[in-house]
Amino acid sequence: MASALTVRELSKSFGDKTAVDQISFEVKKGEIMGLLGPNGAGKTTAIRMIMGILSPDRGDITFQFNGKTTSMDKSRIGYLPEERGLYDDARVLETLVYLADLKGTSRGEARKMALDWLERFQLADYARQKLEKLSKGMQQKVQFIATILHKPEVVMLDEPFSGLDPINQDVFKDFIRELQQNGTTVLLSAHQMNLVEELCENIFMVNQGRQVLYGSLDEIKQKHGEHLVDFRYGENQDLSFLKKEPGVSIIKEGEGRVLLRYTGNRSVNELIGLLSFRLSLEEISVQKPPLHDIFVQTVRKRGETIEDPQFN
Amino acid sequence: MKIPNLTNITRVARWEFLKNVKSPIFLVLTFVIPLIMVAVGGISYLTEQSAQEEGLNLAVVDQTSEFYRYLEDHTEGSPVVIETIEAESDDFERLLQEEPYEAILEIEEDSLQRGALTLYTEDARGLNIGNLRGVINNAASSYRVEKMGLDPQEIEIATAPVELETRTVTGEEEDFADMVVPFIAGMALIFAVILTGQILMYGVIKEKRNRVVEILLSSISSLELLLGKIAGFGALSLAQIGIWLGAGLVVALTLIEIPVVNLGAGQVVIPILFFFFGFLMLFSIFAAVGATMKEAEGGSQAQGMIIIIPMIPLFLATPLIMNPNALWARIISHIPPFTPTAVLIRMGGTNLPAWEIASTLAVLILATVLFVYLGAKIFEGTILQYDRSAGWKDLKMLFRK
Repeated sequence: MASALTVRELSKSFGDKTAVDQISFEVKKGEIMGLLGPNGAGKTTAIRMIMGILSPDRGDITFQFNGKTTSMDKSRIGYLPEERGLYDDARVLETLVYLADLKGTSRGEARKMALDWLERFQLADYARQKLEKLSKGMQQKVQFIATILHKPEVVMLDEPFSGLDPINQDVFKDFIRELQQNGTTVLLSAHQMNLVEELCENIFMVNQGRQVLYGSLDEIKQKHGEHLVDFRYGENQDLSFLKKEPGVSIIKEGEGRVLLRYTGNRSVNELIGLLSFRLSLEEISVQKPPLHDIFVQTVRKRGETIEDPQFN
Repeated sequence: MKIPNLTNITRVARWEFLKNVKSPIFLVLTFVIPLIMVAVGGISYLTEQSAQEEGLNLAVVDQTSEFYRYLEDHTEGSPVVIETIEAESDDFERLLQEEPYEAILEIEEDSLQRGALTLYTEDARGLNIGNLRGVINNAASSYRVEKMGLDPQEIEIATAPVELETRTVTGEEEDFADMVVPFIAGMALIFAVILTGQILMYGVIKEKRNRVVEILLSSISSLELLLGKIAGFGALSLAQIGIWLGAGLVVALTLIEIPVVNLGAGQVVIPILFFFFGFLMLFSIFAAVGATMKEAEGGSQAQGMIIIIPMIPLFLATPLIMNPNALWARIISHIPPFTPTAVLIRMGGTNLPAWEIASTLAVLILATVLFVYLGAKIFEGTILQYDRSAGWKDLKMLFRK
């Protein structure tokens, strides 16, 4: 598949602090690509450089529109910044038309499309209200409309799920999938890795400005030689053999149930064989660990720290 | 820095104009403040008029036996009513209490020669002696010249007023238009700076605070945003000045006679050039300063003080008009932030030589280009710094890059 966005050796420092350190990745046309990392990892700085809001110290950013390579065409890109906000003292419809006007959409067309979108989000009654009259959730929806009103070919969503309740998170997940179905390329930056796992095929993980993992989500998980094994077993059975088994570490144990992490050299099927031989199993499930755990372990293996305390 | 796109600048300007022209602060500044000014001016005018017409009941103790006649001659048609009495100074207090006199004027030969008469009253602060002073001065002049032995015709010639007509060395009469256009341009610039400049600065801070600036910068460059804002607020300022001038002209034409002014192209173009570049320079400074600030409550921040700088020549307006060719006035006119207002005020007081108009305009244009560039650079470098105001350290780092 052709690439819509290519980032090469991108770097940016603020004083002594390196925010982005030589990162490179590609976003394929029509895909949802996840840019993942804890808060402060450099995701927003990278996106601001891609959007042309900040100038990189080094590196190249190129887009492909209609098969032609170009450095930037802001009218074909939509952007939802992490730091949300619109004019609170301006009317919703006027604001949407102005922002689409800045992207080169005619005012008449922008007005018509904005009303359609407001209708779809059940906000039509608020079109002529000032934004400050709307609830936070409604404002988020208006901001989302502003991002895509000019029908961009590439959309950058920086932490789109921040501040959303679970119901609205689902609304926006559906909305992002719909963008992809319509052929829009999406670069999705987030720190909630579970949400991104549901949407993205490819991911780029970053910590302290540097690449941690990059590639297809399935491949990353497959390469990560770890499994989570969760099983139930019959009463009065001896588990001591597990403690001697190389690569097994028990995470949780009690009331006839065990959750363990397996990183041994033998295959996971051999481990399941051993368990069923030594115990009377009632239930067993094997999973790859969540992306969050893969990220944390990879960072730790590299001897790095994660600055976001909520992430550890 | 890329060459800005005119369409984007126009889009921003249009938005800023339409958004702010309906804002309560603009409507108050445009309509309520001039009404207050007219009301204050009207009250002051009426007070002055009534003071001029206010009568004064005056008793005169004339020990010269001659001067009273001259006073009588000059009180004709004046609200000062005089009556001659004979009394000693010991009786003055009783007379002022018992008789309807507001004051007693004592005239002695010696004091008349010295030119210092004494007026007795119960409350000197509450007495309006403006009209009386004119009557006494005129009477004293007539009295003195008659004492010199001049006949009435000679007296009339000697006391006739002199009209002063000013001409330049080339023989041209002083033109009212030479004064009025720079004066209006100077005042317009100052008002634009004080009122609209502040709205612009706080508008930038607000856009930064509510984070909308990041969305704008994802569509246009920071220079386009800056120039669009300046153009929008410039149009807003011109609309405001237009409303004031229009209303002022209607009031002036209705109430008073004003001379008809025929303006030449030169009389209009040069002040407008100073206005235009001054406006561009000062507004780019304000927008950049706004970008460095975190909160709109900038009164406590040093940056907020920048709004005062272009107003400094206004504080010096009187000495600038009185001494427009002084060395210090010339120096101030070549210091960029002061240049437009200082030159426009001086142009209201004198005909500046061509070389000085050229040199100050050159300084202003160069400074405008520099300040717009620096303003855009600061704007770009600090507008996304949400968590705190930018300081000197940040600016130093910005320019080192």
